[in-house]
Amino acid sequence: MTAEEILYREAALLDEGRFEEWLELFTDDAVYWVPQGEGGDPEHEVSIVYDDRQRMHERVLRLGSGFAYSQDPPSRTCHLVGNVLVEPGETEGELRVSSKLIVAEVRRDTQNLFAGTVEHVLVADGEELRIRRKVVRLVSSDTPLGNVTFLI
Amino acid sequence: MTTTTGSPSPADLITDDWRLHGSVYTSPEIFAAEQRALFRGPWLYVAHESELREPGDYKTTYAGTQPVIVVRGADDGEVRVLLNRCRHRGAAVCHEERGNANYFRCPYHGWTYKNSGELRGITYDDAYPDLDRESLGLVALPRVESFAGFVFASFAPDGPSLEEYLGNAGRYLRIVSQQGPDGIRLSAGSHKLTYRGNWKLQVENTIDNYHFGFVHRSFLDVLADRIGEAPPIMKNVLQNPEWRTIDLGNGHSVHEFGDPETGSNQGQLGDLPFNLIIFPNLCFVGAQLRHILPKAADETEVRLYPILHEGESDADNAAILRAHEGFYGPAGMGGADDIEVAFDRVGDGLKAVEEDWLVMSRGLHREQPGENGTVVGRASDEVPQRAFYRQWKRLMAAGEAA
Ligand code: FES
Ligand SMILES: [Fe+2]
Repeated sequence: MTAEEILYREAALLDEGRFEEWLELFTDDAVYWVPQGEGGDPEHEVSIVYDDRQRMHERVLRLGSGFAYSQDPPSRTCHLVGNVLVEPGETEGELRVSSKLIVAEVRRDTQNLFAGTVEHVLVADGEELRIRRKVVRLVSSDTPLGNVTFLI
Repeated sequence: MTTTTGSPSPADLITDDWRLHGSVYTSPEIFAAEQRALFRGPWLYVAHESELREPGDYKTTYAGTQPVIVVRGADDGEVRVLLNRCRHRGAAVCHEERGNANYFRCPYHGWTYKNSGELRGITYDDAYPDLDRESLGLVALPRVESFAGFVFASFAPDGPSLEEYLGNAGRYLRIVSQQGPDGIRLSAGSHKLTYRGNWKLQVENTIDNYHFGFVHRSFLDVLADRIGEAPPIMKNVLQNPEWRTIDLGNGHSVHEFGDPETGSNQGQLGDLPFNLIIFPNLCFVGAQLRHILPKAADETEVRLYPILHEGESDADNAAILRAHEGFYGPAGMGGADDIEVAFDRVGDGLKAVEEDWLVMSRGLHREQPGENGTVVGRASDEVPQRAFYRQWKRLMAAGEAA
């Protein structure tokens, strides 16, 4: 898969609720980060999401538990990925991919819109590319966001 | 039981056997009465001193539903709480969440105020030959006091001091302020939540151990996966006699995990040694300060400020942030379930008004008198809820009489 195809595949897995397979796209040392506000510094500022691979696994486990009330009923999402730019990453074998994301999310008779700029750092793992870092900078990240317990 | 029609008296909304009438959560008239009785007299939390370190530092927030600026004077270092409303024709003079400023300039016609509130300049002022400028500063709340670094203000010019008002709760606030070797700071920003539901639902849910095993069952599953066995929280809630709920008086309450200096919920939800409610709208839970902002009978905003430890390493403070985010905030694996169930679904249910009474008597029979007039119950009892509504009823009745 090309870098671009990974992003599309990720979007499709999320929209189809195939979260275990989504998790498999990531490396063991992956970081999944949704900053809040300016969000320059997760060491000193609170984030909406700042997950290591273990926390990502826990999110997926929770969503499948049957008792995650904020996802019962589950959000139906439509991830649209665009403006994809692929550049060399910081280290050998890494790619830095920036894209724009628009997510329409529907739950309990209400449609919400989330949009932002996404950064993926991809790394070669044998024949495959895997995601080492995903950062979603929402344009609405400093507003009261409601329920963002689906995977963005 | 009294049937409530028209505008019921607060005394009729809570029965002696602790039935609570649903209109407490849904009635716009009761919401308006609360704003007069609960938010215009008692002390209201507005800021922590770590947010206002330098002269000119300010933050904007709300005292009840009223927008205010909390600001440290550039000249005298005094903390003032000013209504965020231009004295000319009413525009808010400051729209930033926080910052540093010597002056606030109204964007509408350019009137300028010093950060002490004093009206400093009127543009093209030849049109006001005899305006009394001295009386046209930004309106300051008459009393501002600070306790252990927590800044409170009151709209009432007289009344008990902050320390008297906090009473038995003061000790716990002091312990919160000593969580780090050199104190605490609220410098990490805040999560903001809104929900369509009454503000008191969030207060009640803050110390409600009864719900934990139900609403947070998915989080308990996560914890079990993390530590390899069933987490001990529910066992403690139901069986540990050291985990207790206490009505501290004046509407304040606490849930102790054992000794308030050293108690612990096993570090899985943050690291305060207890949960604390300061009447009417300040709470401490997990590792956060929670400020609840009523907007309307059915609309609430909540701000969650992680409490960082002064004098501890960046790595340790980052661990506090990560533990907080795991449970709380818009994507948290716990707090979002509270919004869904304890606020949204309660809101759905309360629309069925034909039988409009709730039951709030859990553990009433086993309440015990404690020291200094406190009332002590078991961890899962509705002692904190009753503590809140005892004060609510007193103040609402006094407001009605006034
Ligand atoms: S409303 Fe502020 S200057 Fe006119
Ligand atoms: Fe909860």
